[in-house]
Amino acid sequence: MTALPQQTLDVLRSSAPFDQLGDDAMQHLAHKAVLVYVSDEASIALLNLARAQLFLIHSGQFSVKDSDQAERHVSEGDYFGVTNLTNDLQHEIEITVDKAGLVYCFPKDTFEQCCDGYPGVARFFQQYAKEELQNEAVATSKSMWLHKPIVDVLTGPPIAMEQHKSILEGAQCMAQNRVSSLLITAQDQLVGIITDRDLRNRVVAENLATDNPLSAIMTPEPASIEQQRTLFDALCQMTENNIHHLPVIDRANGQPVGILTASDMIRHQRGNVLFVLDELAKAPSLYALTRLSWQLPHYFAKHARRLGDFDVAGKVLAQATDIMTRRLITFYQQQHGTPPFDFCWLVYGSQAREDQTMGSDQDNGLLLEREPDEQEAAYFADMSEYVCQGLAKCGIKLCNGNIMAMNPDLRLSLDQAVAEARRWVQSPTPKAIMHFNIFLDVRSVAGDSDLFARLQDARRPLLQQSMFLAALARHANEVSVPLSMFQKFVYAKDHTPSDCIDLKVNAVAIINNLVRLYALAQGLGMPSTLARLRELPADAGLAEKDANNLRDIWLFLNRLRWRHQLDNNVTDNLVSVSQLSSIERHQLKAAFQAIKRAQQGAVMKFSGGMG
Amino acid sequence: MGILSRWFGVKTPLPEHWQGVPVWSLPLLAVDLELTSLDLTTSRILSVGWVAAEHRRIQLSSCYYQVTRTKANLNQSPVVHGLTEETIVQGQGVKDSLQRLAELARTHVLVFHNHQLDWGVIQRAASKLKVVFPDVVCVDTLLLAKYQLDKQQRPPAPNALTLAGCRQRLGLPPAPAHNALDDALATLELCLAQWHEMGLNAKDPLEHVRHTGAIAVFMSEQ
Repeated sequence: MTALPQQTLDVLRSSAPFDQLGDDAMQHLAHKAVLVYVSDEASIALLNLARAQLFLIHSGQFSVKDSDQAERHVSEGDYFGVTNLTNDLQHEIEITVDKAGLVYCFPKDTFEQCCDGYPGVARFFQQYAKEELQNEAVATSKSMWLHKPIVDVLTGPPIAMEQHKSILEGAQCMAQNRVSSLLITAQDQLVGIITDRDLRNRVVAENLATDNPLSAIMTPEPASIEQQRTLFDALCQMTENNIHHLPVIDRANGQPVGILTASDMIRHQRGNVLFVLDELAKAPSLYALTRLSWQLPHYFAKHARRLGDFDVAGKVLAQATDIMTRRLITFYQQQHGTPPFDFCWLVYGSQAREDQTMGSDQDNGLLLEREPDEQEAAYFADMSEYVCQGLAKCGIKLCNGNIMAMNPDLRLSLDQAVAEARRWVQSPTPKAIMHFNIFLDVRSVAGDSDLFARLQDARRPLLQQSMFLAALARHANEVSVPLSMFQKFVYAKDHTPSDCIDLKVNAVAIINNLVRLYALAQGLGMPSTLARLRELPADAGLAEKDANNLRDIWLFLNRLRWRHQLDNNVTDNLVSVSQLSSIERHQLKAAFQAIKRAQQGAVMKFSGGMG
Repeated sequence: MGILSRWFGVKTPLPEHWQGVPVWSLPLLAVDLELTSLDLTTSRILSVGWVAAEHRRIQLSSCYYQVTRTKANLNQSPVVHGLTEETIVQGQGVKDSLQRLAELARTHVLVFHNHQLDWGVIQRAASKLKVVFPDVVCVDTLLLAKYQLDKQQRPPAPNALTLAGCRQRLGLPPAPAHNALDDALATLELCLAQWHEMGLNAKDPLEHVRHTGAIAVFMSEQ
């Protein structure tokens, strides 16, 4: 047996992807390694004697140009020379020594043996060369299907019939097509739905003649969903309304394009993701609601076995908060009567984006049809107080910044809300942006959603103004990712453990800001970061590849912070780097670098390069 | 013997085949011993480790580590070095390791962190076991570090001259200590970092380092 220093084995064991090597392969790799002290021209010339090698920095800081790509600043734990190996090139390794140090060199044939024996190693370096995040995890995610747009899973045109046709014709049509439901239309617009159960309960049991029109037995104005929404949205709607058939309609012309059934969902679903939502929706009292809500963390901890399972956690939690809100409003109205006029309950920030975590506090407000008189104002004030305090009892913390419907400033009439948006756009000072950024991610959760649609329509052109977007772009560039010039992690100050990074402030929020910017510029109204990325048109200025990369990074970062919160039973986002696996550290670094590039891109596009 | 030989060592001219050879190109062999005590006169060798470098390239395939047989009282060192009597009995005779080392010393400049102790023990053992060493040139990283610290005319911090302390000062990463091979590698890395600290150019010969007092020459007894 050959002797090897512990130091070298330690380095390999803590460096992805070599941490996955077996003992023999590890020993072999270490045995073939050469350690070079890189300090000056001569040592760099030395590295270039054999360009097709893998270099791993053990200490020191260097600026390296090893491919057609731009120069990179690299330090401990970083690789270079990868492109020469994976693409069989002989590119010169140009190095500027910023701080002398030790570099491990692995010969080409040993590198190739590792890649042959361990596909994970080969894959790692293929992606390392491309500077892409490892997307493997996203592709195999258990819950990613819930993020899919409904349109992707629809199998064909819906089975539909005009409402004046007879029940007999309808039943024959269902039999022929072997379906359990039939969409009913009037001039191609969806007006109702009939299911097997309706035929049993409303026709056979009532002994109704089958020559009656379909309109006589249909359920009119059924709940429906637009095709670009996600399967998760559909599942939530079916769960909350306790229905098994959900018509899908085209956003543009309102015509039905398909139907989703409970059995479609079960086919996709493994494990009952939404059991808890079902229970919440049925909660008969505030007490029952709070009792169920407090089980949410336990529910997530129990059901998320792999990192990918967290992909849907933010959505589930946001949906749960939505349901709690609706239940609370219902409870209030049962006790205090119906509201004096129409309102809409709006949610902002993470609940709107559906990326809530256990630490998110509530951000909400009321949109009123008109300005209330004193008595009317008292009703809404009292209702808001009840709902916000109720949410707090359910574990959704009150907002420190007082962004809550409890705050009279956040119970605006439609006219007032539009005027407010106009003020933002007229003077987007950095301080003002800090304040109103959160209101730019907004969703209606209860009440009259038409009121909200009118607000959105009025605000859309305002928020597309280029001066405003330029200010947002500068704002999105103010916070930087926690990487030093030499790609070392920069840790949060005065925190124990000392190697923590705030993944919310220093990463997720930056992506949210950037994606919001592109979405507003395109007049896209939806608040979710993933939905915005999906809906951005090709000419939005963000290449599809970059959009997909941002999506993967966003999911990855959220997985890490969810795992952190549940593993450590905390509600902050300060993730300790030493708790990450070696490969996750590499992924995190690559993610930060990509975010940095996206920030630069946005500044170029929206504020003429003036960050 | 120690003090006298070092004094001679510092003044003795370099063997002919090392004269004018650039420091950076020298074939180096860093050697470390695990010993039963720090007392030169009674200390026995528990294990030997070394690793070689040439043209600033440390070849990990050159690593050598041998636990050596000794009948000496283990004193406290099992605690320090993690060696137990059983491992030691399994070890090969120290003579074999010394013979290999003597062979390598013909083609390498030896590097020690505190050569006075380690090289002293080697010399004693070699003469007892009748292993003949050629003319040997030793670089002492402890003395190089002491020279640099003295130049700064500030009292060195406690532990500044330990292997770990010296490495830390030059920005080298922490290394696992107290295994002979690991310490040898740590010493070799330190030596290269010290050449860099001293601003030695690619063509500067070993003679340019002699004024530090860290280069010792030991003429063969034959």
